[in-house]
Amino acid sequence: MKPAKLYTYYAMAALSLFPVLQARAEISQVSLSVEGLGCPFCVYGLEKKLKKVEGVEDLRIDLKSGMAVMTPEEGKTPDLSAFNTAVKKAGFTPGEMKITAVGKVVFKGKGAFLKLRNADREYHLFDKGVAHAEGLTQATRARLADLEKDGTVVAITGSVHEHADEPAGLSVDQVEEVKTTVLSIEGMTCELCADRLARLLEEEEGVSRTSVSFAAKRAEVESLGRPLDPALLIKTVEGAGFQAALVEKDDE
Amino acid sequence: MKRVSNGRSLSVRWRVVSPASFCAFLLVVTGTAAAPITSNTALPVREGGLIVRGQAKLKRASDDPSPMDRDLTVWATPTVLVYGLNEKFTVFGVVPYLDKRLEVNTPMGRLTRGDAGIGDLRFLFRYTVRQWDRPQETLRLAPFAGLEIPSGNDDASDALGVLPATLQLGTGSWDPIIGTVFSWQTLPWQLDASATYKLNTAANDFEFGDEARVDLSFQYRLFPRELGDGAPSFFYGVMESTIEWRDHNESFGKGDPDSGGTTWYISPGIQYVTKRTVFEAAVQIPVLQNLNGNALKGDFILTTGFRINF
Repeated sequence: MKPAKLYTYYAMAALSLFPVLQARAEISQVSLSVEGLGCPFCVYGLEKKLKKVEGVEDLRIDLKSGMAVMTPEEGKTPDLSAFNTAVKKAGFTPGEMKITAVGKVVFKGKGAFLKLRNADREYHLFDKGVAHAEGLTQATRARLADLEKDGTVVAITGSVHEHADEPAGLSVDQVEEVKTTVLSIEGMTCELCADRLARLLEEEEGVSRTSVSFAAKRAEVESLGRPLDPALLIKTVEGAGFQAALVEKDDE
Repeated sequence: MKRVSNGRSLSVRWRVVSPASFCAFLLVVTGTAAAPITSNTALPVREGGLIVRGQAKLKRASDDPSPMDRDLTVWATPTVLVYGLNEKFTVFGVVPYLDKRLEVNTPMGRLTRGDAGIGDLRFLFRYTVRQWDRPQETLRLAPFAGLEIPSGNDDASDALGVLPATLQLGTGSWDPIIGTVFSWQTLPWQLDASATYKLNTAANDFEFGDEARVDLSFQYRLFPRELGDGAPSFFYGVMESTIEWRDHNESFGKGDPDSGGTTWYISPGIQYVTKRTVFEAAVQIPVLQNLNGNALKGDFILTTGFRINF
């Protein structure tokens, strides 16, 4: 075997140790308002500090809005308090932090919580402007109770309020059901194929998360609120040189 | 490097110009972020952050009321290292390279004397005591204190003998500095105001007069007029004002009546600010000079420089 082929073989063997690619973090985006930021030279110091926070894949800082928007790395759920610390160490003041978090709603006593998917963390859910003892309006409480009952995976977008000795609070600004479309995939020969396919599917409009498994010959594509059109996804897969079929819930 | 154009003995009274004229305009090269060109700012340096600032300054002073027709040229290239110990506490180190040259009429003809090399090093510590941050806006107050240490040569001589204290690269004295700076920065403009006092002490039987200065700087974003996404580079128009006062020098305990006085500079400038670099230029024009006796009047101070964020 030629050396170049040998290296390729080893690389593929190593990659095959990771059966599932594109396992997105369950906090899909963190938007942090940074107060006191007034010029591009200051932005550099802030960038250096925020990039050091573990689990950050992408960072954008916008001077006009004073916002820092972080995208967590695949499979990582960053410590949100670390973002506030980073802002302070850069010499600025952290303001409102908004996240989009994916998980299931769980009621404990009167309180409603979002238990993150694939992470040991939960957020105490509340409506803005509602007294802390109740936390939620009747309408929100009823909706969340239905979601808990159905075991629905949801994405909740809202402001985070850190607390010292209890779970952080998350305001319920927007609740969207996570819709999953499952495809069986044929024709993948290695993990690199799965990786390439996952990236292609992520580029599709409305896709919030993609998971492609070479071993299981399967792709799970998620969207928020509105279900995806399976025909379009299959077209994308076939355009990449593979075959795909929709897996109905009953087939699983 | 020492220079003299005439080797004959000389008995000219070297009341050149007070020490501050050589060194005071190096005093405030401690800017950090997008900031004043000729004075200081209270804007932050991140914890562990390093900023390197390089400058080239040219000072000319040739308006001599005396028959000596003195003509002074000083080139200074200070290098400033700024380090954030934490988000509030910043340390500054200034290493100045100086080249001083004085031409003067004497009974033996026109002579040139001077020296070139490293001047007195300066260290400053700045602490942010108050910080009011709002979206796209900050107000900060930061006192600072430091020391100028006698690292520059203070006993240089040429063929005419030991250079006068005012032409030496160093003062030979340990001189404390105190001051405070206030900054108000918004996205379209920035205002900085600072007050600084330098207490000069005696060395070699000579004591430079104390120095005080009050600086005001206004920077206005000329480009881009409308901000787009991200962190675009800014082009500022800058206008600064400096009032500088210097006390009489003293030699062997006796005051020099031809030293010290008050000068008011107006300094138009430009500044280009990116995320990692700043390029800037300004000219300090003395619009009012109320100097003692026959002290040499300044023409201008030209400052160009850059800053790099590491």
